[in-house]
Amino acid sequence: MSVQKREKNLSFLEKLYIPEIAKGMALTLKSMFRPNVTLQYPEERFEPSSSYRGRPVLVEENNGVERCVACGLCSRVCPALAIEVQAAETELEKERYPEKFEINMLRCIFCGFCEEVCPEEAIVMSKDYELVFSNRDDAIYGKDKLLVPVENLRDRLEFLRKFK
Amino acid sequence: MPTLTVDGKQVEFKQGQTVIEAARDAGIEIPHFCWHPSLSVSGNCRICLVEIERMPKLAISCSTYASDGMVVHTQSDKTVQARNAVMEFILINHPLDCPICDEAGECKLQDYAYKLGEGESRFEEMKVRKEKRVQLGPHIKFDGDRCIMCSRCIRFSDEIAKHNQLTFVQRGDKVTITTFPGESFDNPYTLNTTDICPVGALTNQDFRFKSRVWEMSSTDSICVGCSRGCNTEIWVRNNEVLRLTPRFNETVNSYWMCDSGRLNSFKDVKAENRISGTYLRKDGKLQKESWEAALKHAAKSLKNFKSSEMAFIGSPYATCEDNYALVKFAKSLGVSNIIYIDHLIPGDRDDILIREDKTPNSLGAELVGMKSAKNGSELASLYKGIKEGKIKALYVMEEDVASFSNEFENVLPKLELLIVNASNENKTTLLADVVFPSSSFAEKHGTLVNFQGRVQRIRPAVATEEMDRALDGMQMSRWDKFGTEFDRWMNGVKYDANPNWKIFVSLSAYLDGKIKYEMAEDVFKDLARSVDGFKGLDYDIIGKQGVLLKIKQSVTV
Repeated sequence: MSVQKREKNLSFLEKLYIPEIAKGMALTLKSMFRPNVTLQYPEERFEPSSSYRGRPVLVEENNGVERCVACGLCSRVCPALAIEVQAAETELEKERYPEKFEINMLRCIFCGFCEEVCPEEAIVMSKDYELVFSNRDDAIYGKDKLLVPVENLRDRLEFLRKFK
Repeated sequence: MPTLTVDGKQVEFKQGQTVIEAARDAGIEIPHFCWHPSLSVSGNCRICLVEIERMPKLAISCSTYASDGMVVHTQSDKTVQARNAVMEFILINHPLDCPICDEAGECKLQDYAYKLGEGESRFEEMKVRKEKRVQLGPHIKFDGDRCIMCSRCIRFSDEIAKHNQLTFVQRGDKVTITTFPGESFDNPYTLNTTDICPVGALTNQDFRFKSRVWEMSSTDSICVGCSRGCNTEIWVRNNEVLRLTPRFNETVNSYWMCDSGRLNSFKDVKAENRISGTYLRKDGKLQKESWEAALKHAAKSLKNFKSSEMAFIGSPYATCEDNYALVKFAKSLGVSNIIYIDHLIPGDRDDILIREDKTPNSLGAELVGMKSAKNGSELASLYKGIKEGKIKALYVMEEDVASFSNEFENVLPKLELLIVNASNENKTTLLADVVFPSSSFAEKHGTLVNFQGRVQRIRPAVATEEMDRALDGMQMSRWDKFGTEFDRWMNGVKYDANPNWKIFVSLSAYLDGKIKYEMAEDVFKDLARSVDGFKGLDYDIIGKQGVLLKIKQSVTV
C-alpha cells in the first residue's frame, strides 16, 4: 500500500493548530450573540409562508359544499397514484360531486401537481405538516379529513392567484 | 381502378366513393364530426373541408365524390386555415366543461381541439345557454349546451334504428335537439347515439359519472344477450364491469348493439346472488366447503349410479369449451344423450340486431354434440324418468331448470343427486346437493357460435380469485399496473369461481382422470380436432372478428 499523500502541505503556523483553534472559538462566540433560529417544537411551532406545500386539502365553500366536481384530473396527474375519486350526480348546478375522495398520505409526495391541474381551485396545498398515523388505513384520508373551510385557506388561494 | 391523389399519395378507390371514404381506406384520416361510415351524408359540420385542385373553393370531403385524377390536399395552408376557422366557430357556443363531461377522453371535439385548434378564442360575448340534463328517453340524458348539431343521433334513429323520434328545433345558434311532441326517445337502440355523439351531449344514464374513461381497461368480448353475438368491449375498473360498448364487426353488428344487451348482460357479473366457492348439502342445508371436499364428494356420489341412472343438461349460455367438456365428461361416465334447453322469446326480434334466441351459443351447444330439447319429447322423457325413479342423478350446467317449468321444479326433489354448475344463485342451485361456482362470461376465455354460424371469442375482463391480471395477460388500466394490496382502489371483489371446463377437469381427476386440459385453448384445440365445422381453427385464427364455420345452417331461429 502506497503512503497517502496529503492534499495540502501545511505551513508552520498551520502545523501549530493554535491559530485555527482560535478562529473556531471566535466563530462560536459570534454565534452565541446571533438571534435564535431553532424552534422549540412542539412548544413553538413553525408558521409556513403561503408558498409552503403541506398536505393537500379540499376547499369547502361557506355553504358547506366542496368546490370539487370530481373530474379526476388530480387523480390522473398524481405521479404517486395517491388520489382516488368517485364521482356522483348532484342536483346542484355543478352536476357532479365527489362521492368519495381519498388521498393516501403514504403515497403522497407533496409535489402539488393536483393543485396545479385543478380547474376549480378545489384542491390546494395547506400549511399542515403534522401527519401522524400508526397504520396503513389511518393514512388514507377521506373527505372528513380533507375538507377545510375556505376561510382557513385564503392565504394559499391568494398565492395561487398571484403566481400560478 | 380509378385513382386520386391525397397529400401526394396515390389512392385507388371504387366508383361512387366520396373523398373522405377513399382517403380513409388508404389510411388517411380526414377530420369529421357529422360524417359516419354507416350513416347518410349530412355535411353540416364543415370540419372535413379539403382543398381540391381545379375547384374554385374548398370542398367538404364527405359529400364530394372522388373522381379519377383528382388531386386533394388535406394539410395545405388553405385547408388548415379553414379547419381552424371551423373549430373556432364550433367552439364558440361549446361550454368549457370537459372536467365534468363524461365524454372527456374519448371526445372527438376535444381531440380535434388539441390537434387542429388554435388554442385561443376571440369570442368575448356570452355563450348561448340551452337546456341541460334533459331526459330524452329512459336511458339517455341530453345536454343542450354541449351539442354541436352534427345530427348523427337524428340520422341514426331514423336510418338505423328505424324510429324517427329525434329532430332539430329552433334556428341559428338557438338550434337544439328534442323528441317529437309526445314521443320519448325509447327505441331499443338509443344508447348507440351516446357512442356516435362526437361530444358529450348525449350521455348514458346507466354509466353517467361512474368513471373517467382513462381509468378503465377495455377487453374485446361478445355480448351474451342473444344469439346475434354483437362484438363488444368490456370496460372494467377495480375488477368491476362498468359498461359495455359495441365494437365494429361488419358482418355481425356493424357499429351497433341493442340497449338491453348493453345494460343487462353484464349485471350478473357483480351481483348480490353471485356464487363464490363450492357448496355441499349437509343436514339438509347448503354449506360452504373447500373445492377439494366438494369435488371428492361429487365424484364419490356419481360413482354410485349406473350410467342409465344419470342425466346431463348443458347450456346455450355456456361457451363451446364448457359444453364440449361437459359432453366429454358425460361420455366418460357412459352417458351420451345430453340435452340443452332453448330460450326463445317468440316475436321478440327485429330486422336490425335483436334475435328471438336469447342465448349466445345454442348453435355451438348443438355442434359439440348436445341435443336441443325444443320439441319437448326429451324433456318429457326426462321428467318421466325422474318421476319413476329411473333417473336418479342429474348434472346441470349453467341452466336454471327449476325456473324453466313447474314440472321440472316438482320433479327435482325426487332426485338422489343434483349437481349444479352456476354463476348466480337461482331456484335450481337452492335445490342442489353440490354447487360448483362457474365463471361468468366476463371472467373466462372461450368461444361462442352465433346464429350465423360465426365462432367468436370472449376474453376475461374481470379476474376471479385464482387469476392475476398481469400473469394471465388480461387488459390492464393504469390502476391495475401500479396497484398494491394496500390500495383501496385495487380491492375490488374477486369471486372464487372457475370456468365449467376446469370444473370437469378437476372432477375427472377424482374419477378416471381422462379429461386433461391446462387452458381453454387446449379444450378448443381438442374440439377443433373432433368436431367437423371447427376443423383447422384455433384462437389466433378466430381473432377479433370471428370466423364463419363451414357448416350447414342446421339451427334456424
